[in-house]
Amino acid sequence: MRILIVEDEELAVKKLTRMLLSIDPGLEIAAVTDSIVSTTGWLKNNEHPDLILMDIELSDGQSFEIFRRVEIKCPVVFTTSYDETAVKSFNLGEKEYLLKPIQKDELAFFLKKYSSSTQVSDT
Amino acid sequence: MMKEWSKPTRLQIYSFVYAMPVVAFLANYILYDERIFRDINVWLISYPLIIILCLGFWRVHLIIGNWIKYRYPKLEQTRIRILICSLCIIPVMSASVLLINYFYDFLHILGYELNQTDLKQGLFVGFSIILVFETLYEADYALGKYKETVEDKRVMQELSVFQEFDALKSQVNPHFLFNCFNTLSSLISEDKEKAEHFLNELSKVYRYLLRNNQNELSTVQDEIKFIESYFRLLQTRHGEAVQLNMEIDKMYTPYLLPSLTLQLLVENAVKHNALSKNKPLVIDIFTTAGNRLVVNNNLQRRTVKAQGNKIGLENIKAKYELLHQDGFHVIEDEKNFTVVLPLIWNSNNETSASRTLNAGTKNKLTS
Repeated sequence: MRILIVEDEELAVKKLTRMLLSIDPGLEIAAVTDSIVSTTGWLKNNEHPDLILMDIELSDGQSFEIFRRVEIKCPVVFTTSYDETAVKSFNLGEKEYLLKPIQKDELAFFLKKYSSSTQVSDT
Repeated sequence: MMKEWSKPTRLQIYSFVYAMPVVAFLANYILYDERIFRDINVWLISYPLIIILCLGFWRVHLIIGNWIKYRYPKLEQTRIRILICSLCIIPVMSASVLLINYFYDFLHILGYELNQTDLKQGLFVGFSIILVFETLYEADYALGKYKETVEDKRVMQELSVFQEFDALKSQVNPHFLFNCFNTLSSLISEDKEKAEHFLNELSKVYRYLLRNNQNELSTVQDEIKFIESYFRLLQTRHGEAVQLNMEIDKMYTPYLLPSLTLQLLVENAVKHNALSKNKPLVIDIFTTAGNRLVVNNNLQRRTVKAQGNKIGLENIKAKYELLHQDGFHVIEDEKNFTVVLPLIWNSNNETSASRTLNAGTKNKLTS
């Protein structure tokens, strides 16, 4: 399973990576991007991952802008420390989010949900 | 265009209009003695002439008096203002009286001839007039000033309450605190010692935020110490993407500025600019000659503009206006965003200068 982490705080990336690997040591962190610009660039030039974990407040603006710039062909789970209302107000099909600090069991729930769907398509 | 201080006040105009007939009568009585009751020409020629001359002298007096008030406007400067006023006005008045007498003597108006008694009486009347009217003008001015001070203080307190709300909304509550919690949560697993430092700084910051919501002014020293803690929080979160350089001349540490000003400016800089390791946001805080504190950051606009209001900046500006401190500037060009803050001399040199809001306004907040 390939995961893209969109997060601008290095510490948060470290922690999330460790937590992801502790849940499933076999998964692959496809990349870590930290801004609207770099995420959009990466998504345009790379095969889309199985899941994106996306922080809302990025260093150059709110991550919703990414959706206006590039079509995302995989599920997105937002991570946010405070304003889950922002996720609700943004009109997206999927409105899933994780509240920071991220709880391991909640993260595991989403990993399981999306890894099973990709495994079906893989086989 | 007339300068503000050269315009007579309403009181000055009224006092001239009402007092002049009497003053002109006295002047003519001094000049012509009993003739004033017999000779109609005194009334037809000299009386209007005196009024015209006095109008000129009155204007000169006003310009001098008002200019002195303009130069020494403060209530605390009342003593020096009265002293300088007396030193200037008395000679000018004496000169005016002499001028009238010599003018009349020179032209022999209605056969007038100069004598010492007239001069003495004239000086006596002149002195009485300025004593009465300058006192009146000064009292009027000081009273007005006093009212203004009371009003300013009230508005200042109101603004502080607004800022209190602002601070409560933007810092004490949501984003910042939760972001800090996250960082702390990451640090606990990554680096326990760092986590402890971080928590220390966080509590310092919140203690200052909460305590200083109640003060209007803080010393440069306190603000700088606070901003150092605040910045360490930011740096733990953003790493090298944000940099702070401070160069504070020691002589300015006891000076005052509106509380939480630096925090607001640093927060704005972080909020409105893109941060990245390759292009770090650099904030410079330094003092310059002429009691100025400058906060400068390089501009690197976000891809998406942050929702922001200029209320914070406006609030600081309004505070400086109320403190009658010139020199607050916001300078923005393509590369830099600069805010110039005038530093206020701490005349009490005690923390008492950071006045506390009175109980009334506090109640308004909590109710």
